[in-house]
Amino acid sequence: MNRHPRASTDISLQKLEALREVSLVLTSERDLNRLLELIMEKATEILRADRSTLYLVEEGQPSADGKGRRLFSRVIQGAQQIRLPLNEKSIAGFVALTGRVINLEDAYSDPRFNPSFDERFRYRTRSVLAVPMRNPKGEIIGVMQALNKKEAPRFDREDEEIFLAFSTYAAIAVENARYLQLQKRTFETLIQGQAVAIDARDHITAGHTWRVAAYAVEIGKALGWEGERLEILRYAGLLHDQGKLGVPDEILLKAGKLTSDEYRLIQSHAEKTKRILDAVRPLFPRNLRKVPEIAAAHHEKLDGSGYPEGLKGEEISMEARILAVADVFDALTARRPYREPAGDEEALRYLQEDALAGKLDPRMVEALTDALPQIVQCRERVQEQIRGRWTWAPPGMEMESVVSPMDHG
Amino acid sequence: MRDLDAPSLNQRAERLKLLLRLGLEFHAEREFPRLLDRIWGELTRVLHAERSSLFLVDLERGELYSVIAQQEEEIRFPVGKGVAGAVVSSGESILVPEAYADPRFNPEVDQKTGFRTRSLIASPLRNRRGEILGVAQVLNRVDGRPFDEEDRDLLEALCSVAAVAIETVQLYEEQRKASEAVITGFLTALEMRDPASQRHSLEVRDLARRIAQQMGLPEEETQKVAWAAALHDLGKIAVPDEILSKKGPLSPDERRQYEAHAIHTRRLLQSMSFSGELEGIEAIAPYHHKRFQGGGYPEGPPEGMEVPLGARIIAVADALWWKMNPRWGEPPLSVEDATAWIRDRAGSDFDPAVVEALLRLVSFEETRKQMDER
Repeated sequence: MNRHPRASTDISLQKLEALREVSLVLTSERDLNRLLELIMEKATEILRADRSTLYLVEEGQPSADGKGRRLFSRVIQGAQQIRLPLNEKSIAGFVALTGRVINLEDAYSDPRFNPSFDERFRYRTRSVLAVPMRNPKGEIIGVMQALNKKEAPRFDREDEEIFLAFSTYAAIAVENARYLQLQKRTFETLIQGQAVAIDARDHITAGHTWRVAAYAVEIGKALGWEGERLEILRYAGLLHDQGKLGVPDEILLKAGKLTSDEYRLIQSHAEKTKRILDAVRPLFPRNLRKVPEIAAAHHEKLDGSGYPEGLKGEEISMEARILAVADVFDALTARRPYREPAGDEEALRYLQEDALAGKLDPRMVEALTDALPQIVQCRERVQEQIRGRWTWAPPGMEMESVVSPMDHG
Repeated sequence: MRDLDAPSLNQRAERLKLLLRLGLEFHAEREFPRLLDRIWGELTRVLHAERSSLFLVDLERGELYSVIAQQEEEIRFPVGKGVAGAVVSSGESILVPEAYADPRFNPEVDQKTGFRTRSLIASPLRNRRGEILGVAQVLNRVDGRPFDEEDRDLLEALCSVAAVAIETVQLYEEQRKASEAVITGFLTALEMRDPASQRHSLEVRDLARRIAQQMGLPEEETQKVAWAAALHDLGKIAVPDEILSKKGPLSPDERRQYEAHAIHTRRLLQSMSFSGELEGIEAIAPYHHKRFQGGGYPEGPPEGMEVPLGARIIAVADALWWKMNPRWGEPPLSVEDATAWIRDRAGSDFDPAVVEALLRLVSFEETRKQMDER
């Protein structure tokens, strides 16, 4: 921690108060893009500068001489992005490599200053204060620059101290937001990985998981949903058949229509899905707690004739109703070895009948109808995505490669 | 005027600098227990308190629970009860100069612990949106005099820093749990066809993680090894049921089908595009049956030292587990015998450096167990 620049006695009480307030604001913003905007806004404010720029060191493996890595400006007030090579020839590059502070009264007097940006952005830089952003390990993760001190010819010693203290907070907030982003990516790719595995396990329905997830999102959009609600729908779609990973081969890989006994056996596997659900439910965080419930209820019908719980009407969430419609639609329109797929119009009629019969929610069927053009696009996209992807067929059935016939579907 | 104010101004500046410094320290922590430990330590130190406690709000149960207090066992009580409970209800700090004279004070905890509370302050841990995450409480100033308003202001300032850090780490924890949920779902499903596979995968993961830590791998690498270990048997989704569930020894043909799971794992992982902590596990997980001196399965490269260290670690953890929990009719070995079996194969089947780490780990745990028993 000793490498942190500390607020020194040069900083006035008033500025310290402002820094404390800003430190709370910055660390409370966990969305990286909003955070970077916020950092610049507050830097400009607290330093009484005209504008500020923030450069981040490109992530990735640093080579010994730092060659090949670049600095890029994530945020420049009043301009587009700039990318700079990470070397000592620019002000930001110099600060990023040496960790030294640069404080200039006249930028044009310094050979490292590059006036072309001024020309490009029709700006006139006079005074510049540039400081490194150090993370808690002391590594430099970026550079912050404040330009054109207001009501004074240049930034003073106190500004340097303030900016250094501020930059340390900016760095830790950036690192924490990145860490959260990393963890979100971990979750996201893990859940996608599950979808790959589910699809691989069942070579007959390859692509089903992805399509249902995509269709559900399109239905949600048609209903005017957005943000996290769609995200939840997508996750539930990607996981809705997780139980398939535990379904025995003889059921899963039966190439042909199921007898009614076998159909009942398949239904009993909804029990398995429920067992999975019970295992995972307490682990899902509060904002995603609905995901397993929705996934498990995709075979429930409004009139109570579905499974595994035989839930009725209001007991079935909006999300699960959407998933049910998406699931049936894909089951009808996807190619199977034992039958031709239904056309979209025919499938829609079937869904409408099911809605009239009180099984599917008519609003969701209508939303799917509205979203049909997007849904067709999704289908093509998924087709592209799974092309050539490996799926499992049991020994003796490999020749019935399923991905290729679907290429025409 | 200026002279009169100077000391207090100086004090205020010092205090602000302290808060700024503590903020940085709190925000550098990414593990919940360590963060709480740190906050708790600073509360006691900065407020010159004899004791302090941290409570968090359990929204679902409408309760407060102690996360850190001097006594070991968790204390739970409904929101509204005691001074800490009253802080949550009112949203305001409460300064109690004389505990036993205050009707809100709940002496039950004192009775349990034998501590005698004289004076206390409790403040809400509030995030920037004004939601109360918990309560921080300090008990008894070490100099014997009761807490005053100035102490209360300091505690409040400390709480506002701590609350943001707590909320950040709570978000990490939630995201970790969500990932854990997906893995659990997968392993629960796999277990329906492949008996014991859930326990196997999770225990191999934990062991692989501890070996990696023992070998001094950086945290990120250790985490990657743990993910690879959790998914090392992913390919079993494509191994036929009758082979997975067979009790007796496998025929050569069945063994080939069983061993194909490593190839399936590779194919599956390669068709997934991992990022985040999972990036690169496709180069680790499929190779947990490769032998150190060459050979093993799947056939072909990588061989020997080209096999990533993570895979060499999982190989040891996996083999240890199977020796202790055999499936095809072999007798189970004790941890000592299983370790000895692996030690005998260091340099041939297994990477000696990994085996070395396992031996250190086992002997360390043995020592700890003996100490616990004493």
